[in-house]
Amino acid sequence: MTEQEVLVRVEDLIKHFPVARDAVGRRRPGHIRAVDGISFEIYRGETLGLVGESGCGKSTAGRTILQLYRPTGGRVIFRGKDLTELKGRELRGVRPHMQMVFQDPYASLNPRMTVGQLISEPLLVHTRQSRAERQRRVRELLELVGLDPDLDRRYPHEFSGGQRQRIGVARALALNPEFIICDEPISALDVSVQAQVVNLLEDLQERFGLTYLFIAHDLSMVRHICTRVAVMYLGKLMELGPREAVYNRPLHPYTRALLSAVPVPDPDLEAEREPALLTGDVPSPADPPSGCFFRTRCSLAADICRAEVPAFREVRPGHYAACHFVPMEGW
Amino acid sequence: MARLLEVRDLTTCFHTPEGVVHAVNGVSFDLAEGETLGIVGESGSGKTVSMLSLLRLIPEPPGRIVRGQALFQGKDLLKLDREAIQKMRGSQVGFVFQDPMTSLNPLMRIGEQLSEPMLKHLRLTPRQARNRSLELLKLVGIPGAAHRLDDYPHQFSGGMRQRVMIAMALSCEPKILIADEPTTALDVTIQAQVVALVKDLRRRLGMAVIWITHDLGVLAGLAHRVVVMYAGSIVEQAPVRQLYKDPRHPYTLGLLGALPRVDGQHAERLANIAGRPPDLLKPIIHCPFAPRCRFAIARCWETNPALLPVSDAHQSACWVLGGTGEPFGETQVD
Amino acid sequence: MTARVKASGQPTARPGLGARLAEATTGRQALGRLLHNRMALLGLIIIVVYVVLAAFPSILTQHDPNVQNLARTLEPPSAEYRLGTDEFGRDVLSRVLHGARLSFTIAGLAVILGGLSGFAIGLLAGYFGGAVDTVLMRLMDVLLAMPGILLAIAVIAALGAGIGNVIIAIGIYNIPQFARLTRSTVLGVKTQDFVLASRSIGSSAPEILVRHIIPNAWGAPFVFAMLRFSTAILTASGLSFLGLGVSPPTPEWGAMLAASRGYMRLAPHLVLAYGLAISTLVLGFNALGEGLRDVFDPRTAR
Repeated sequence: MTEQEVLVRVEDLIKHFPVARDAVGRRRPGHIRAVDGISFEIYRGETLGLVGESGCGKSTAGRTILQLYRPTGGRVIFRGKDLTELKGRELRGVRPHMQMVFQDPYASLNPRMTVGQLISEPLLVHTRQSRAERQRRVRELLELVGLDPDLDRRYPHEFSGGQRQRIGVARALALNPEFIICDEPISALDVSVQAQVVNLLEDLQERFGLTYLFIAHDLSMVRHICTRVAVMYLGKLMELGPREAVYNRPLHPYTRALLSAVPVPDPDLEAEREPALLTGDVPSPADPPSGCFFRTRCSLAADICRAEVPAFREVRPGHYAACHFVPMEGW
Repeated sequence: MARLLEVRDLTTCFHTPEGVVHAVNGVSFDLAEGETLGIVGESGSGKTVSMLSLLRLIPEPPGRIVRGQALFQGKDLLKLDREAIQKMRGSQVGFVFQDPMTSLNPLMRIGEQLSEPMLKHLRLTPRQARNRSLELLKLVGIPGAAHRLDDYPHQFSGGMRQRVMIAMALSCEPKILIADEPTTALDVTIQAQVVALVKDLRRRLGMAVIWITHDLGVLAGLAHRVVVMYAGSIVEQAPVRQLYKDPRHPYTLGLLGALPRVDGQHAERLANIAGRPPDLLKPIIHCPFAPRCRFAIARCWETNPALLPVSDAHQSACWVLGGTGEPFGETQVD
Repeated sequence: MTARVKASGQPTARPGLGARLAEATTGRQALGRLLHNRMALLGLIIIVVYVVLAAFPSILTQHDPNVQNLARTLEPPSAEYRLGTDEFGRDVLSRVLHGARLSFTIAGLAVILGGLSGFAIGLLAGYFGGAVDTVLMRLMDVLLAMPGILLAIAVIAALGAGIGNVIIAIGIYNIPQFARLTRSTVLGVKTQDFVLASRSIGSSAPEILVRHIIPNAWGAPFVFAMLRFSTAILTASGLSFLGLGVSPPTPEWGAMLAASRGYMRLAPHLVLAYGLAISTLVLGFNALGEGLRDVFDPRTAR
């Protein structure tokens, strides 16, 4: 993990949403702390997995990194610039280098545009290519993601979910980006189709040296595709480390609970396994618990967890966790 | 174990403006008392439609149950009159749907919704029904159940709502609980809770469970037997261990290979099932999986293989890997 | 390919609103569905018949709508005067048909004026939100606070009577209705992922509005325009009925209806002819509007 080039540096990123407005339009006090101070680096050429339960803020984090939501605080350094300070034209100038693949292949493609129009939209915005050049590029991209280039006049609804996700990938690739955020790109797809899309993402990464931030709730798939994994809970990072370390020797009780909840497709193993069930629900991000956010569901919770927010510290080289009990228990 | 449900040659189609969709094509299976049967398949494989057909819950028209038999306690569910089948639903067979967010009426209190089937099927008084609702909420592990009877669905989280749905399905002590992708919309942590709950309830109440899913991962620790469906037909069924250890249909093999494993015993690359399921508008004479199958031989394009025994309880519909031939590893393939 | 997704009844993944919108995407499909919708077809036929007759009144009658024949007043329908004559001996049929022309012009221009302005206001308010939204929509609330016909009367009072001012009056009172509808539609479209996706590739606000918001937001206001068309005809007639719109002898339905009231006993065919002319056309536009709504909203289709 030494001497790797940092492509994206996220520093203390915060995104709070106002809770609601009252009848006169005044904001009520209190905020939903969707992303509550996360810091990490993404190395060039790697796939960093960002996992957590729904509502943990992982998608918001992705969108805030891309400045689709403007952050409440913190910095995002990419290509030597702090994205949070860029505006308008400057920010649009950086966009070609960082792209996004969205979760819902139905909602993320404008139903009234043809596949050709959809894929050439980024070219239209950022290049002065002629119609013929754009058309050639569209065909090239369609082929690249494994679709028939002659389908460029079709509309999205004529495609299956997996094919639509390929269209989304082609669109993201149109401007040769360095960095792609994949926001749950497979969670709406059938298992066999998931494999197709994941294999495509892996092939493209190898071919173009892409860097991914892979946001997902499927821990099995994250283990398959990612080099490092970050675990999020209620807007904070609980654990971050190399894949094997996080999966084989998880430091944080939350990570262990998450991992133990994932079923293994092996009846013999399943018969012996006794999953450590998490009790209760995720607390509201508008009103998180004091101290450690996870303490209300944690089997190890003690007084110190109520009183103090555990620091997110490096327990082993490159392996971070935010838990008061990590070093003492000696995992 | 005694046979509880015996389904034979169930065939359902839908009449659409584009033509007749052959959604379920001659599905036959048994369900024993107290057994958990997993039904796995992709979207459109007919797994949900076949279960809905059993209870005649498909909209007719455009749907139509063409033929088949579903013997439950000596009665053919497909031939019961409207009143009798309505009695069957809820009282003998409970249903849990995929989306706990839309399956509950947002304007009715949880207690009222739970009581409804009991007032109807068990003819309880409102007071009895309310008491029983409370018991049910406790049974499915809702904390502070007594205070939550008068809550509305929006006051419950997704996992809690799915528990309520299960409680509702159990309210009349059904012999069979059919759960249609009950955990697909939920997080893994909540999925683990729901799976544990259903396993526990099955043990305590002795009912049979049919669990519909597209994820073979969940079934490994839950089901006794697994039925794999593809393009409206059963392509393989086997006891759970045999299906995972010795799959005898290329589709099952593909599904297992496409699944990454959290315990790291994963391949460098996920197995791809290339292509997509067939268009169910057209009748298929060859094996429906042949176009996507890497094992396909000439015979697969001529005749659709029937579901034939591999061993005692294991059946597969494949000319290459099925039958009593060698297990997959030793099969010569080119 | 289409067939699989739709016909198997279970698309390969959960379809969002995008998919439902897409159902009505292609023009040919929409047209096909429109022709299968009896309501819409009925409306369309009525309107087409009116348009043709208004454009070529000579198909049915050779009489000039303004030529008086005082020797033959208030005659019931006959071979020569198919709908009889009015109090000045003018051909009622001819006046009805020329009135249709005027009604189409007034209602059409008023709806276009109100619709386009309202659409633009709703679009900006909905897309940009914040202060833009607050200012524009409060302004709309002020207009909405007055009953429609009163607002129109106030505008006429300020500008004076006449065809042009009637158009402006009806147009203005249509603005807030279109603005509100457009705004709520835009609010729905704005949150769709494809808008976010377009922002993520660096599209500017005008690019997003033109490429993504407008194509997905014009359906509902367009259908609404059909429904407003009939209201505009009624309002125009209403204004003329009150003597605030078009002045005699211009053949305007409302004005003619008002004039013929006095002869209801003597010559009931007058009231009937003008009344039915108005209500049939209004019915036609309503039917077409309702039908279009079904066509554009796949959730109610079939």
